[in-house]
Amino acid sequence: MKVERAAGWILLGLLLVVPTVWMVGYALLYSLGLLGLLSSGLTAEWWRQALSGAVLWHSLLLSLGVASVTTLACLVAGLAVCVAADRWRVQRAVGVLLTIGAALPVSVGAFVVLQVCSRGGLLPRMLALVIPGFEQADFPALVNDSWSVGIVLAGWLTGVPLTGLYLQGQWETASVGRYVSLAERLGAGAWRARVRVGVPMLIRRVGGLTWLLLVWNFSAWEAPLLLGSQSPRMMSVLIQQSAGQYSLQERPLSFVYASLYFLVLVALLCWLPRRTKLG
Amino acid sequence: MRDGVGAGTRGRVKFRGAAPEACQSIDSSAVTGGGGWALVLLVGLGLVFVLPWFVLLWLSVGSGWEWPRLWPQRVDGMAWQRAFSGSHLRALLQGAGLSLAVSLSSTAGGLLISRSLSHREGGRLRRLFFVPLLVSPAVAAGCLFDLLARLELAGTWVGVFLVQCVFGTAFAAVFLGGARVSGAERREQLVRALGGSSWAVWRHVVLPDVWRLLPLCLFQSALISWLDYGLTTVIGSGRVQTLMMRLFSQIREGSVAQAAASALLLSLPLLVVVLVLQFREGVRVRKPGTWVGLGGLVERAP
Repeated sequence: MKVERAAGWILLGLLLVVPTVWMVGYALLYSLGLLGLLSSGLTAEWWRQALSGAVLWHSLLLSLGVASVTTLACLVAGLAVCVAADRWRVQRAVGVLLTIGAALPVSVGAFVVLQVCSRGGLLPRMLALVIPGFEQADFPALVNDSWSVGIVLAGWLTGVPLTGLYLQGQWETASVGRYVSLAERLGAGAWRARVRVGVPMLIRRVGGLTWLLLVWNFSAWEAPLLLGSQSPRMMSVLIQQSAGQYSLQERPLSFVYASLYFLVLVALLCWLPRRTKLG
Repeated sequence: MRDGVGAGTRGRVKFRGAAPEACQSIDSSAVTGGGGWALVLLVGLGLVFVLPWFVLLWLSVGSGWEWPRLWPQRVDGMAWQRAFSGSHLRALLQGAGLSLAVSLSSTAGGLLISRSLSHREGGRLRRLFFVPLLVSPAVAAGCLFDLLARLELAGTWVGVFLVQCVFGTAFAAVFLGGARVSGAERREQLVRALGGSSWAVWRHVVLPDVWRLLPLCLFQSALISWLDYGLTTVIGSGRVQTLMMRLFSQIREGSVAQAAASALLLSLPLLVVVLVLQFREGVRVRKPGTWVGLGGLVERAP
């Protein structure tokens, strides 16, 4: 028993505590000039350089913006699908369709968006068949664009199934249907009952999911790598590309970005609703 | 009505005197109808969530996609032939082997950790498990690369395996930590009081408690490795080739058919399993696939 417990604690230390502490600690110490090939003692130079540059702020704003828009779009679509499925009594079929969508990994979803929505993709090809004289340049840039539409689309494509399935589960668990039925019996219309009774009940239960979607979208990497623009870049792409460049000058900067990224994650973790249970 | 909603969410029903049980007897036919709109909803969802699979299949079987062709010049199975031969097949098998190893190790590690913590109220410590699950794998790998380079594990299979195990074990510890059945500790004490060894405790208490969850935990921790790109590309430094690595190489090279075949090979096992789970009572998959290296969050139905 003691051996088993000791093994668990050792594994906990080696596989979870050490890597987590290392990640955060190494990024912070490197950014302060205390580690690395260019270390010259404690300095705030890299922080000053990063904070005074526009690259960091553009990336941070872009990441937070993309995460917020994608999360909101997923929640709205998920709620609409869940309510409509209940209204028309097609929950089972909708559940199967959402499950099929949920099986699409993010990187594969991003590849699909690339193949469908890029200027040489299937969507402009369809338009070219329908509209005479339609050229690739006539199609708006939805991929690798400065507004990150492609990233949002990929996040939405993979996020809505999750949201829809989760909300369908909550609809059953919280017996929302019973309250909606009661509202209808009291005279509310079918849609009104669902929108005024069902939706508020669901909204009260999506705190944890919203938080997870926000963090996941903020941390997204594969989709921005394929669908994002070169400038500004999402935070994770900026950090990884700065660290991987040949210029050693960029490395401390990448760890400043990483430290700030961890700081935002901690802030989001603190913001996590107290009663929310993850996992 | 607003009071009723608030009360309902707290489990106290105050619908102006109406008993909630009365709702069950309501004739649902009053709200049915709109069959045409239901069809529109299903077709719309099908277009958005099912069509991508057919797009991938269509892209994978053809070659020669000059603008503005919607169908390829040649429909052949060359991409699929190549997918099961040479370096592609090797990457597929290597990725599968790595996933299997990560899955087994992570599940075993997660089980041990969750049992060690279950004796204490490790609530705060459990929050630590979420850090690897929420951090972008590319950022995590960037920070861990130097550690592994010092240990001479960067650019090796062992290095990638270990880092993926960090993520897999965190997931398994969270997942199996929630599987603790009430009264388990008393049953353990009973087995020991009856002279049972540690093995007997595992056989009669621990494994039966988690038995139903183990396949799902194994599968989801395998997914963390199977669908990982960030950790493998940074820690593996291009020397560790998995199917996901091949997919990104093929996308960069513009080899659309090959990339589509790889994408389908990556996703099909997932599709089969989640569809099986969808029809299996008791377990609901919240999120298969991966967002930030997290293989999935699984909710046990109440």
